[in-house]
Amino acid sequence: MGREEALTAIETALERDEGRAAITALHGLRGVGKTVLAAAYAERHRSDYRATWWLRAQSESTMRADLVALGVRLGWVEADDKEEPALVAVMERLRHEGEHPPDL
Amino acid sequence: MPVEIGVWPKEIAADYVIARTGRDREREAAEVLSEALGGLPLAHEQVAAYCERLEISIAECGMRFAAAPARMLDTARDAPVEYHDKLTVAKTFALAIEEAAKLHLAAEALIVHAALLAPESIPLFLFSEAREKFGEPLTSTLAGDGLDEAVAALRTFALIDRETIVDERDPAISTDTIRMHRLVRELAASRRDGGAEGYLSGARGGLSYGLSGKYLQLPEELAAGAAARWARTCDGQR
Repeated sequence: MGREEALTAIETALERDEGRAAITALHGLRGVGKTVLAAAYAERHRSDYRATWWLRAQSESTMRADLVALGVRLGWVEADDKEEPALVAVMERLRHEGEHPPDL
Repeated sequence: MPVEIGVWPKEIAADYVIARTGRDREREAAEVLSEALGGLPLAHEQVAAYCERLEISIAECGMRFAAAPARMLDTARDAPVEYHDKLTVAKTFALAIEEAAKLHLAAEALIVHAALLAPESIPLFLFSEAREKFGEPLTSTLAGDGLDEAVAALRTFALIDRETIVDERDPAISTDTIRMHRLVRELAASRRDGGAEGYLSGARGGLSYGLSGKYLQLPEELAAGAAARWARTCDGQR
C-alpha cells in the first residue's frame, strides 16, 4: 500500500544502465518492506526479464548453491556439473551478460 | 544507485490498519496507533493481526500497545509467516542489536543508553564527554575512535541514523547526532539490565557531566536539570 513512489524509484534506478546489467540496493529499517517491494517490482516486470531469482545470502554455501541453480535455470550449466566449475561459469556469464540486454 | 525505503506516512499506515481490521469508523484511532508504531509496516501488520484475532477495537488495541509495547511486538502468533518465518518486530531488532554487538563491543550499551533519552536527535558529544561516568563497558570501548565505530556498527544494521545538525544562529557550529526509530528505541530500552531507576540515574549522571563538560559555563547541577529533561523517566514520559 502507498508504495508507488518507491516502486518508481526502483524502476528508475534499474533503468539507468539500460542495455547493461542493472544493479541497485534497497536500504532501510528492518520491517520497512524492502523484500516485499523487491517482489512487487519483480512481479510487475516479470515479462521484461528471463527469470526472477532469489539468492539466499545467509551463508556462503546457500549463495553458491543458488547461483549455480540460476545457471541451470538459464541453461548456462548442467544440473549435474560440479559446483566449483559451475559457479565459475555462472559468474563469468553474469559478468559478460552485463554487456547485453538484461537477463535477470 | 541505492534506493532508500522509508516508513509509511501516517495516512497510508492508518489506511492499512482500517483495511486489515475492517473498522472503517475508527480513522482517528487508526492514525493514533500508526503514529505510535512509527509507520513501520511490519509492526502494523503484527499489531493489526492482534487486533483482528482478538476482535477488539483499534482504540483498545492502541491502549494495549501503549501499556506494553515490547510484549505486543514480540507476540509470535501475530507475526506474518512471510517475514522470515514469523520473526517478530521485537526479535528482528534484537537480532540486529546482537549482530551490531558482534561488530563493536560498545554498540549494545550505546543504543540502550541512547534509548533512555528523549526521542530527538541525540548529540554524540554527550557520550564522548561522559564516557567515564557511564562505567564499563562504555568507558573503555568508547575511547579513541570507539564511539564512531560503535555508531557505525549500529548503522550497519539500520538501527540508527547519524546526521550533522547545523546551528540555526551560527552556521559555523554543527553538532553530530544520532537518532533512531521510536520502536527501535522502545525495544532497545527494554534491554537494559538491573534496576531501571539505577540505570536511569547512572545515565542521567553521565549525561549531566557530559553537558557540563561541553558548556564550561554551565554548573553541573544546572546541567543535571538539562540532562533530566533529556532523559526519560520510567513512570512519566514512557
